[in-house]
This record gives sequence, structure tokens and C-alpha cells, in this order.
Amino acid sequence: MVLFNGAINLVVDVYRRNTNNLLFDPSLPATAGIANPPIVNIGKMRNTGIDFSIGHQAAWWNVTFNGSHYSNTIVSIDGVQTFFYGPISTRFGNQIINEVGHPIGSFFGYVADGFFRDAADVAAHATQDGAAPGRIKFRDVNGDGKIDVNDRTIIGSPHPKFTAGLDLGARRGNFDVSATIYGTYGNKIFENQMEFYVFREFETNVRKDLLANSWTPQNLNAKYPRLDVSDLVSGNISSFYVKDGSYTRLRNLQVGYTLPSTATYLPGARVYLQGDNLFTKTNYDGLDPALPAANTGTANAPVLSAAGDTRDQYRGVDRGSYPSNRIFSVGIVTSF
Amino acid sequence: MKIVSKNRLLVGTAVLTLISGGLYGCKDFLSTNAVPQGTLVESTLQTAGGVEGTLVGAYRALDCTNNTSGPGWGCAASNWVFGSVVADDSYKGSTNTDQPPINDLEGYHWGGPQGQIYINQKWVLTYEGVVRANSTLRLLKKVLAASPGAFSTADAHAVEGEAIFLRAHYHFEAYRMWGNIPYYREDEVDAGEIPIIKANETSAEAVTDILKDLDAAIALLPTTPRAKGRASQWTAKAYKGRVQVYAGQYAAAVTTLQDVKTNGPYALEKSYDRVWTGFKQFADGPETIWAYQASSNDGEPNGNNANFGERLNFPYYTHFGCCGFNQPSFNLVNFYKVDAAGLPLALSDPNWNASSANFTAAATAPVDPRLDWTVGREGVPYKDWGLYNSNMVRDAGNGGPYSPKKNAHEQASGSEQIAGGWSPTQQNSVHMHLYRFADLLLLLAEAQVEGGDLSGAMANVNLVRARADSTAQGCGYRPTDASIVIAVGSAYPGCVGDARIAVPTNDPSIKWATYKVSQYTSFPSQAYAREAVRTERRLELAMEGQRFFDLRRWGLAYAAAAINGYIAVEKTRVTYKASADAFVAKHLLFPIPYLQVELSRTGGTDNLKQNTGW
Repeated sequence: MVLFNGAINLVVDVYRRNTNNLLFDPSLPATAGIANPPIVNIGKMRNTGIDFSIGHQAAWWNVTFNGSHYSNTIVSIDGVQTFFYGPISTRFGNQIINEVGHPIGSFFGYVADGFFRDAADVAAHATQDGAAPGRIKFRDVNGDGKIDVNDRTIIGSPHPKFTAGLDLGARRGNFDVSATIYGTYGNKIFENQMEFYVFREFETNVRKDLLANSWTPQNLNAKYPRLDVSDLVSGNISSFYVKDGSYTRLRNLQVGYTLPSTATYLPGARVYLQGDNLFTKTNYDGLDPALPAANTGTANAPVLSAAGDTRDQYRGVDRGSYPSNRIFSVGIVTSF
Repeated sequence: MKIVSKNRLLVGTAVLTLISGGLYGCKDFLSTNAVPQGTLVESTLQTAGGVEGTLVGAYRALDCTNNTSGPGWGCAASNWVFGSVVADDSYKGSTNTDQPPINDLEGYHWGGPQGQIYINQKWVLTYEGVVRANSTLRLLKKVLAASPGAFSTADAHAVEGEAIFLRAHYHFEAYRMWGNIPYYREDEVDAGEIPIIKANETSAEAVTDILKDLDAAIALLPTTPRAKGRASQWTAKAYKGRVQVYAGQYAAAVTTLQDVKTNGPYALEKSYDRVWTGFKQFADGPETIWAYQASSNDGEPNGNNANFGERLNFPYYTHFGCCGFNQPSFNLVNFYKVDAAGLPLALSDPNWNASSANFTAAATAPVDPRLDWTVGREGVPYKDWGLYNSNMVRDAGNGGPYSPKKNAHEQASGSEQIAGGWSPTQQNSVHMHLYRFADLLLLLAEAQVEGGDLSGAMANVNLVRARADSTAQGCGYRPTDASIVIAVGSAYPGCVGDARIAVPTNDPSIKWATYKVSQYTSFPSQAYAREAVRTERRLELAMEGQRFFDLRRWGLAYAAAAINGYIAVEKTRVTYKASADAFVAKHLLFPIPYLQVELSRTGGTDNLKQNTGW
């Protein structure tokens, strides 16, 4: 719709999309054998959201702001199972669960509740195998006095609460400028790479601040658990790995100059200078909060698993994807 | 006018096409109601070839299959994690953070999510074996009903017998791990031929069912196997004796095992190097009762039949390349020391385990020659790969200086996978013994001790010791090539040119050890006899994935004393063991995998009842 005498362009979409007959690869108990039972069209998922775009076209500049919010829920799986795990299981376990009533691809693990302060703290807490001062304390979610597989719960979701884009443009004389800014907010990232550069799987290189900022009796509010070779518990899949993945990025900035038709060389051509991914503002401490879709297939069948393309079940897990590059380019647009 | 009617025709055709397209597209070819397209249904396999193929599949499930292989090695045929590492035979090995599930298992934290991965793997593969055996039986029945001439009577009985035997074996594997297991027969399937969900029975009931199946197999199987490696009537009888000893039915066990020993085709290999070997001509020899028929260079593109389950268990900085797991413990190496009389030091000297030193070839204390068939240690030839050195381990601070040896092939055997897969040098066709004749003799001795026949037990123990005395590791010289890290000749010039891998125990070429293993002259009491048989069992079967199951069936007091005593000492040698839990009553059984308990839920209740304490 157009508002204010044509000054503002507004487009709003409100939707509630029910997707039925999703392909589902059921898990049977092991006593039924390993052979995959037939994949069935039986899953149901709902996406509810709003997309909007609001823009203004002035004499020599224009701006458009678009934003979108959605919420995703698994409505039913096959009527019998209420959950199934994600498609990729890493060395420390499977961090994704798809559970009825929750978004697809939710993160699943223990809830990390800080570190044990001392031996008294260990004794007062629920029985946690391998607990010691300086190690991560896990919350007793079901209140049964011991920390075991039943204390795992949903600890985050890769789905953003809000994504937004801002397109700016201006033209003055022979110069033109355009910029696109993109941002996503409220999504979480499961930083699986901490397996390597915090918990030192395979004795890899570690974060620079691991030595200075690990728990010691003098440094109780540290960022990392105590440096301890026999610590088998802190590395367990938990909310310690879940980070905020919100970011704002200047995706594209282009400055162009159109040569006048009377110019000696390339009359009428447009010359431009473009930068991609110029800056990113984020609190995420990994390499790049903009993660590509993971490869959920096998070596022989990349991307596609038995139930088809399951990449939507595995979003927001950072397993060392190559980060985006900042690119500068120069271009000429002309015609002969 | 003409144009309008043409248009109407076009429009009509288009609408008709759209409607029919829409109706066709609504066909439910992936719904649960119809038999989905592209699935393999049993009717496709209803031929003699299908039956035989399914039966071979049931044998194949003895070791990790492609589907159970990742992520982990809980499915290994040899049970090296559950039987050796979790007991006092070996440490996990490799580096501290590698394969975290084994850390959990070794530390008796079996409820944590890591350890559960491996426990679940073992459950999955064991019951896959049951499913395959039962599928064979169902298919056989269908084929015989449809075309009675497809199998000769002898073949039909043999197929049925082999399948029932396999079913009994897999259930016995489950029984050893979890005790209270569900028992599945071939008719316990739903309309879609998928096994139903059922509750687990008690371990006593499981034993009864296993023995019932074994008796059925005995009645059906031929006395000679249809092919090497297949089950025969004697396999089933020998196995029955094994189950009886495990279940404490000693008198019956003596009868069963005595029959197999006297009348059966089995015998001890004269030379120990032919027991665990990659040489094809010695595979399935007289000592083999039941083994995983590993096979390499057989056309499987990744060599996955070549002991996938063992591929981590090789010394690291060697031709093999990876991965340094399953490292024998200091405790185990000390256990092979003998006293002046040639009997195990552990029986007479309470300080047998005092030394935390690396037991290299320089040590002069006399040892049982089986030490150097079981453990790779410094200064001793490692089969025919040259000398072993403590630097070959991945991380001595984590796993000690020793390496496993039984599962390694000899270079001259040609059993190494040539190409394919992630690590062909670590894949071979050494047949993994699951039950061999020496094991049978010692089970018989155990039953005889419990029945009071001490002299009978001693005779059987002495048979095993006599064979141990026949050969020891020799020079195993090969001309130097890239696969040899340290040539034998560099430390032992006399070895140059001496290619013998096995030599008499007092051979002059042996400069790295004093071997001594003598016969028992008397078992003065039942207590002594019991301990002597148990000691012999460990010496003979170390690193073969049996130890933990033996310790558990000898009772909580015995197992707890052994394990907790082991940890108390070993944590001074490999510091990570300090974080181990104490062995208590609940560790007599592994927990049924939590995932499987959840998946057994119907109508809100779990059909599988968890073991006590988990």
C-alpha cells in the first residue's frame, strides 16, 4: 500500500503456513533391525510470521527497510514419536533435536550453570559424574538429584527472532551510491569448534585467552573451565557452547560514476567501486556468524541423506565453516 | 467462429489435463498405507540364494557393519572396549581427548551421554544379528513352503541350524552385557515383518532360552560345517558348554565340554603364532571354534570386512600409522612374570604388581612366553615388523609404553588391505577368535574345580601351559624396507637372516627375554585351583575381549577387588585413571541404552525395564 500521498511504500505480509506430509525417516528400536524403514510423508510443521517492507523514494535518494519475523514449530512427527535427533552426530554427541512443540533444528544438551566453586559446592549439588572445582556445573533439570541423560533439554534455537535489511540509494549528478545492510537478531549459534580450541580435542591450537581466563581458585568468574587434562565432563554438549549469533553486516556498498556522453574514453559508461562485507558488528566470538548450510549427507551422497535434504534440521552449528571474505571490486558497465 | 471453437477445444483440453494431473499427483505412493515404492520386501528374497545370502549377512553382523560403524567402536567383534579396556587388561590408549566415549566407559561413568553412544552401538549391532538370523529362518520357511525342492533336507537343516545358532550367539552377547534382555524369535514380527516391541526377561530366563536354541541347533546342524567358519554341531555343543559355565551350571558343563574335548574335532594349535595370525593357511585351524571371518582385498571398496572393529588398535608411529588404542596395562605385563618354578608370580607373590617400570627387553626377570604374543614391548621383535620401541605409542603419558599385538597381522601373511578405505594398513584378515579351544579347556577346568575334580582341572590347565611352552616370538627377520622402523639386526645381529616368527622357547636366537612356563604339579586346595584356573585364563586370553565378562561372572566381591585394586595402583602410573568411579554392584550389568528404553515406549510406558542402579 502507498501512504502519505505516495511518500511511503508499505508492504506487509502476515502468514501462517502449515506444511503437511513432510518426509520423515522414522527411528525404530534397535531390536527391529538396522535396515531403514520406509520414509513416510507424515511430518507437520507450522511457520507463522510477518514480513514487511517500508520504503521511501525521494528526489535524489531512496531508502527501503524490510524486516521479517517468523516462528517455527513442529506440530507432529508421526503421531507416535515425539522427537528425533538431528542428522549429524559429532565426536561429543548429537546437539540437534527435532521435538514436537519446538522449532526444527533446536539445540539440545545440558544447561551449564557456571563452575563449581569448591568441594563443598560439588557436594551440595546434584550428583554429577566427574564433578570437581573449576569444572562446569550442569543443572539438574528434572530435579532427581543426579545429572544424567534425562537432564538434557532444549538450550537454544538457530532461528532468528528478527531479520532486517536496509537498502540505501542516492544519486547526485553523475555519482550514485547504494548500500545494503543486513542484520539478523536473536538467533543462536552452537559453536561446535570449542571442542577443538577450548577442550583441546587432538591437542589442537587453542584460543589466546584460554591460559589467562580459565578458572582458578583466584579467578572464579572466568570464561573457561579449569585447565585440567582429566576433565571429561566440561566438554559435554551443553549451553556453554551456545552463543548469540546476532550480527549486522554492511553487505554491499557501491559508488558509481557515470561518464558524460561527451567524455573522450568510454562515453556514457558507468564506472563503479564496490565493497562487499565491509564491516560486521557482532558479539559472536567465532570466525563468522553467517554460517552456510551444513553438509548433512555422506561421502558418497553429499547433501542428501536418506530423508532427502535435511539441511534445515542442521542450522547454526559452527563446525569450522570458512568465513566470508571482504571483497573489493571495480567495474565498468558499458555497451558497444 | 472457427477461432472461438479452437480456443474452446484448447481450453477444454488444458483443463482436462490439469485435472487429471492433479488427481494423479495426489496418489499416496509414500504413505504408510500402501507398500512404499522402492522398499525391499521379504518376497524379493524368497529364493534359495536369498536365504543363503541373508544367512551370510547374519554371520557378517559379528563385527561392525557400515551402518553401525559411526561414530565409534562399541560394535567391534572382539569386544576390546567392553572386555579389555573396561577391565584390567588394557588402557584406552591414544590421546586423552580421543574417542571420549571410551573415557567414560573406562572410568565406569556408564550413564553419561558419551559412554551411552558405544553401549547403544553394541546393542544395535547385537540385535541386528538377531534380526538377520530370524529373517533367515522366516525366509527359509517360506521358500520351503513354496518350492520344497529348493533345498536338500541336509542343507535345509544346516541353514536352519546355523541361523538358530547365530541367534543364540547374539543373545548370549547381549546377555553378557546386559543380563536382562528381550529374546526374539522369528515369529515375533508384526504384519509388516518388523519385529515387535517387547519387554525384556530376566537373565535366568535368557539363559534358558539361549540353551533351548542351542539344543535346537545341535539337533539340526551337521557334524562337519558346510564350509570353514560356519557353525557345526560341535560348535553348538562347545558353545552350550560355554553358556552353562557362565550360568553356573557346572556339572552339566563338565559333561558337555568333556564330550566336545574327547569326541570333537578341536585341538590346540601346536604353535602359538598360528592362533592369532593373518596367514590364510592357518585361519580356521583346529583351535578355532567360533571366529569372525575377517576378509581383506575381497572387493569391498573400503575394505570394511577387514576387521573394521580393530582398526584403531595398532602402534602409532609405525608402518600401520594409527591409532594407538587398546594399550596393554602395566598390570597385565607384570602378570606374565613367573617365579623360579615357572609358575605365575601372581599366585605366590603379593608384590607381583609392584614395578611401574617399562618392562623392556633389558629386564632379566623370567616371563611367560605368551607375554610377547600378547603385548608389544620395547626391544622385542613385533611379529615380522622389526623391533618394537616405546616411542611407537601415541602418548606414553596417557597410555603407557605398550601396544596390542594379537590383532596385528604379519607382513609376510599378505593379509593387509592393499587399498581402499581410510586406513588400509590397519585393516587385515586376521580372524577374530570369539571362542577358541584353549578357552574351552579353561572353561572345562573351571567347571571341574567347582565340581571338586581338581586333578582333571589341573590336567587341562597343563595342556594349555604345555602349548604355551612350545613356541615363542622369534626374530622375524625381513630385509629392510619402508615398513620396518627399527631393524631386528640393529639390536640383535644374530637375527639377521632368521625369518622365523615362531621359535622354540629356549631357542638361542632369543636374546630379549628369559621364557619360562612350567606345568603345575599339584592343586593343593579348591581355592588354589580356582585361582590357578582364573590366572591361566587371563594369561591365555588376555586382550581378547573376555576379561571383563569373566571378572563379572566370578562375583561382585572378586570383580570389585580386582578392578578397584587395579585402579588404585594404575592411577599412579597413568594419572587419568584417578577420575574413575569405584566398581560397585550396579556395574555387574551395563545399563540398557537409554535411547533404546525410550524407543521401546508404547502407550506411555517403557517396555524395556532398566537394569538396577541405572
